[in-house]
Amino acid sequence: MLMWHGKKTLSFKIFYDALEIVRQKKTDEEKTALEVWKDALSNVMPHVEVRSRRVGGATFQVPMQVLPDRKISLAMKWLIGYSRKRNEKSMAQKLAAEILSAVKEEGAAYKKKVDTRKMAEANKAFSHFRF
Amino acid sequence: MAGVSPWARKAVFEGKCISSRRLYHVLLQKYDIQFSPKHVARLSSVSDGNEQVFVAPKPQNKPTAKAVTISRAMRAYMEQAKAYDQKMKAEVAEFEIGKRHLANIMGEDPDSFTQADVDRAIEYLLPSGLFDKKARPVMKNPYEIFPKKKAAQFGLDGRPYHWMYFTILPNYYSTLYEITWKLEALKEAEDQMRAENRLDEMEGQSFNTASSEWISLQVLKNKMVENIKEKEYKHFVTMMERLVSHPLSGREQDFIMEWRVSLQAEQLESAMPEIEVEQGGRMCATAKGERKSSNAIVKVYKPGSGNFIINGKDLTYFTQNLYRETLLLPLIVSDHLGKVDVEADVELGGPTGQAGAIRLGLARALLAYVEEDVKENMRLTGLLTRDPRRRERKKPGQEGARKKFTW
Repeated sequence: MLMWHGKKTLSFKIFYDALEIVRQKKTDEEKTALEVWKDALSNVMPHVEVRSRRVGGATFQVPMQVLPDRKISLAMKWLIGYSRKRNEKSMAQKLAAEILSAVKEEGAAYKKKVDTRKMAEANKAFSHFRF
Repeated sequence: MAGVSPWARKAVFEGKCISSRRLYHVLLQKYDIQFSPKHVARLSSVSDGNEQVFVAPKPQNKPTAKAVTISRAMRAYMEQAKAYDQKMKAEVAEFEIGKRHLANIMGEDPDSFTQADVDRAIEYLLPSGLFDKKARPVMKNPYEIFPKKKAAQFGLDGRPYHWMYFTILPNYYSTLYEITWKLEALKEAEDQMRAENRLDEMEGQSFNTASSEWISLQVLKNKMVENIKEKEYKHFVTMMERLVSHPLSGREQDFIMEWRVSLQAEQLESAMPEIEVEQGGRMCATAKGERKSSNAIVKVYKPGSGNFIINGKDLTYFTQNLYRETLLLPLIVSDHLGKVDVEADVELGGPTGQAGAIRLGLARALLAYVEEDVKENMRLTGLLTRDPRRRERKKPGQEGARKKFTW
């Protein structure tokens, strides 16, 4: 997600620079920047999501538990995707800002997680269609 | 006559005529006899009350046409089983005699001729360069060569024992049903835990898939003694994977392990590199490693101080931190960081391939210096597996290996 055209070194640079910015700006003294990132990731991880399933002619949105690997993938995807839309100067700054707001449970990526959860709650009636 | 309606009793004692149907029910109640009403003797209108009622004996069940055909099937089955047994006996006798002849040919003692000797003799007398080992001439006990047969599948009345007999693959389908039922049970348990807010108990209850893998199609066929196709095997594996991916799958560990085979650790012993002792008492172990198109020859000297010499240069051979870190991983896992010197000659490939090759060679060389449990750790972290991935070729009619043209 972070790497384009196979430029892995660039993606490494972006990520580590972002962590450096996080280290300078973080409010919690006990944690390292890496732990802050992990907290952000776990805040953005969805636990339930909706998947479409066709039963008898109608398409239902069935809420289902998210598998652990998929949780991580979705969280990273949203963090990177929404940081691209931000208004800071460089990608590293954008990513750092998104991580910091995710830790505080604000920001677009966190909102996406909450929206996914609301969808699942709204369609709770169909949870017996789990597959 | 106890247990009989007072009216009927009175009627019999008074000698009154009682309908055979009523008497039939009375006697049914008392003696619990199964017989049709027409067998009941009729009471005469005149009697002295001590009339004995003759009850016809229980009529035999006339064999119906269906029962006759079923027993024919059973008979045919018994004949087949007998023929099979006789054939196997003849084959085993032939095999034993053939073994003795073979021993005589080879000039060995016929009595102490083991199966290993037989294999060696066949390989010597009938050398075959065929690639597939199963296509080469083989001489084994007939029970190992001839396909296995199932025991009696239905009883004398023709009713099959297995509830899924008519699916032709009863064991396979009943196993699929088992998996489904277990998965449903796990889902219910999960719902219950969720309702009682005990989500934290779900941690660590899923089945650990490391150090074992699913049994192969051949083994599954032999286990179930049924002809299972590739597609059905894939379906079976998919269903088991679904079961395993449930967070509570640890509860069905025994069931899942029936269908898994643990990866052998004995392969590690054959891969153990030799240790040569140089002058000055320094031990040196050499091993090779490959990754992508690179290959490396790695020498690990112990005791050392953590020096690296790669193609004449030190760790700065790799400009990126990432590649230096890949080389450190085997040392960290085996706890030899800073205790050994590493010398590597690597050729072909780019930085990733070369770093991977050196890492594999280093891990293999370190096997000579570590204990069993550390070896197991290394195997679990995947340090000892040669990464089989190589560059996929570009195909004609396509843009690259996978990318297709737009039209």
